[in-house]
Amino acid sequence: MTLLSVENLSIRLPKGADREHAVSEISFDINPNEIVCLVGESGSGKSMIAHAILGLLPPKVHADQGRLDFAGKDLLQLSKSETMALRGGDIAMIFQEPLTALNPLKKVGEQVGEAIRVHQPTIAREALTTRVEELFTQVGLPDPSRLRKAFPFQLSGGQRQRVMIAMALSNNPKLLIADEPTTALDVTTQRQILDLIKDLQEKRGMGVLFITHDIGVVADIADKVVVLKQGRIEEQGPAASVLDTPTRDYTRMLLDAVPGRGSVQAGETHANPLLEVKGLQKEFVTRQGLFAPPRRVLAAGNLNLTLREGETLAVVGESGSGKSTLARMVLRLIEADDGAILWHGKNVRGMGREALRQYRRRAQIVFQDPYASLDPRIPIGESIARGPMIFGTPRAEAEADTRQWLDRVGLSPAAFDRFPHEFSGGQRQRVCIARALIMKPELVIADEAVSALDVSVQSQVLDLLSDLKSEMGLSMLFITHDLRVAREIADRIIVMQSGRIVEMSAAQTLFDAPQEDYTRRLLDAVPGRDFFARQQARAAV
Amino acid sequence: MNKTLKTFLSRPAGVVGLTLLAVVCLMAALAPVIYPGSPWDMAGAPFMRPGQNHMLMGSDTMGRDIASGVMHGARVSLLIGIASTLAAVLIGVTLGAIAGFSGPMVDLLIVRATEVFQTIPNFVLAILLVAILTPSIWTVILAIGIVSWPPLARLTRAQVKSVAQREFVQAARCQGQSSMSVLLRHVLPNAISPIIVTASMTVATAILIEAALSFMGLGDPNFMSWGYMVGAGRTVIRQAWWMSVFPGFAILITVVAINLVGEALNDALNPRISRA
Repeated sequence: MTLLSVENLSIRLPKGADREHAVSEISFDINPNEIVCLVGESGSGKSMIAHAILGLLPPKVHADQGRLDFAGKDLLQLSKSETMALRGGDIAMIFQEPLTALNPLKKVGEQVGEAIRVHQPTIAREALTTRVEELFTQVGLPDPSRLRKAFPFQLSGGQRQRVMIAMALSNNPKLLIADEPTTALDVTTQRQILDLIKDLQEKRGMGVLFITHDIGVVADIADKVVVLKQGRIEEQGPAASVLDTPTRDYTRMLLDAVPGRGSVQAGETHANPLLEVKGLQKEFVTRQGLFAPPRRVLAAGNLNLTLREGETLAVVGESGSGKSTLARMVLRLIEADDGAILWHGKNVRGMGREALRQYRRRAQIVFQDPYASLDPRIPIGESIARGPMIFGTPRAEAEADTRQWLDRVGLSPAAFDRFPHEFSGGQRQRVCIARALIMKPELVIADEAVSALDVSVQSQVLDLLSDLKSEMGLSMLFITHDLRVAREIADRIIVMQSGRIVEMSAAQTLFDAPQEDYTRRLLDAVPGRDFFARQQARAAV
Repeated sequence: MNKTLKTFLSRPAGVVGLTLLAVVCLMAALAPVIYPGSPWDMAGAPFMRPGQNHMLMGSDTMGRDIASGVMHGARVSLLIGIASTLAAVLIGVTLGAIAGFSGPMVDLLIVRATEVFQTIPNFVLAILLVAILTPSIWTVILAIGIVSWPPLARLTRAQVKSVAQREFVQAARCQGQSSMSVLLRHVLPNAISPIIVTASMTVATAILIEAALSFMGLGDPNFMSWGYMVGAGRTVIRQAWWMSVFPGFAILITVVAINLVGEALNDALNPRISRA
């Protein structure tokens, strides 16, 4: 029996949007005890479908065609009270960002209890507490009786997502909708949450609609796959057949764009060291009140590393491992507590104002979030051209240079006068790359430079970076949480954990024969690893 | 710029506010043309009802033409409103930007100084300043400026602090721009819109403070002002409502107009709304 059947669904967008319909003529079924994955790039309309099922479409957006058949009723025709009874009852949802989806001022146990009480108003207090603790145990939260009294900020990202899952499960839903539930999490935590969802789904025989942009995740958990492109279904079918023998170019493109499957980079060079970091220390201290001892977080504990000329060094680690702090300390955007940073043998930490300016010209950075790293009030051409102008290039020449660079990073030179918000994320990241490279740097620091981008855009930007790198003989310090990306671009890889270097070796060695347990755990957590390994093995035969 | 203007004009609040404000400005500009004499001069018998004896808004207890007073009063109100706000913006934005962008010691000093000013009730301080400095149009402007800057300083500081943490500011630093240039070219332009909006509201508050000062007899005796007229007509409001109602209405219209303009500016200066 079908649990939910989506028939010919179209969702209309308000006038002035980039297209008329968010999604058009979508049809697929979800059966009990089945995980259906909706895959697509950002803007493909996958979240809209989930929101339509729960009646959560934003104002001015509505379904103008089709049926959502759930237990014999059309969800689109339900009254408000019927929808409310269904929401959190038979159909529950997990959101992407567990920090914003929880009320920061309420204890997590109460929040889960509230979800139960809404649907069972008569439940006794003791029964409620027992039920909450039971749910917490089921989702693998340690020490439920203590944890239910915690506030969201006291939990880690993975724990918060577990609380969200507990809340979603609180009324034994038949259908669980998970909207990118692991995108904001680290690889290892992502792995645990995926396992948990799969496990719970099997135990409870739920139907799950799982929305993701990561085809690796799909390969790990999906029974059935629906591939969306710009609001239309490209392809759907059982996971094994869609992934192993895709019939559409778009699906193939998504599969090919997953990073980290090509051969690794050549490896170690013996050129002169460009940048040396010696015994770098940094500790963040936050006061917690007059009498409480201050909280100390180690961001860098005795870091030592060398970057040689023309080399790409990737720094990999989970969030909070200190990798971004390292990048910022190298540029002195954050001051280190102790240690030395040597640039061509000269200590950066002792540089005066003018020397620092000259140094920063040679060492440029590309930030993670292309939305935040461009001044929204200045045309992008101006943002790029300002760099060389500060160092004395006449305006006309700097502007001509900028137009050339826009062309080189794959944007039209006519983009010069446009504002950042007129570009997509990938285009903005190209602008940021142009802004860094027009300074003719020797070193580019890429701080999670592709993490905020879709897989297909990610591979384009990675290609661009490695092309420009070999053209200009750049060295690169590449900060990322994604081992697959590191594999794509790095000669050598450093693995960091809690401010310390766990392992440092050539890319090939790290992937073939990891030395440390932690590295092995990171490697195992990479989504879709088995699937792609199988695929590669097949290709080799 | 063009698009900012377009959004501004697409808001009903902006159009209405701007029209009302234009009327007030026109009154101020045309006052000496339509009523060439001094508004302090007697123009007829006292206690004339509106329309009697060719006096559009009637006359006051001394036989002065109320319409003339309202027109001339517009000049004083606008002058004081704008000049004192400029003074407040100059002090507030400078201090706020310095506090937000420099080290923790300077920040602490400026914040404490601002707090000292904030603990003193605005109006009491204004009365005190004007009383000590003897009432004149310049001392009134100075007094209002001095009591109005702390909110602007706090807002500027908060804005600058939050913008300064954004990545594009760090990117500008990495481009080698000096701190001054980063502050002036990247931080302030991105922090300025709420400051402009608050400043436009400050103009309205300044007009009200001026009216209140004149109401208490602390205005410049050489300039006819709305607040003075309301104050002078207050004692006879039951016999002659028009003496306080027309200047009071003028104050209301001006303050509402400025607030509407401020609101529309808020939308127009938001790049996500205006350049979408």
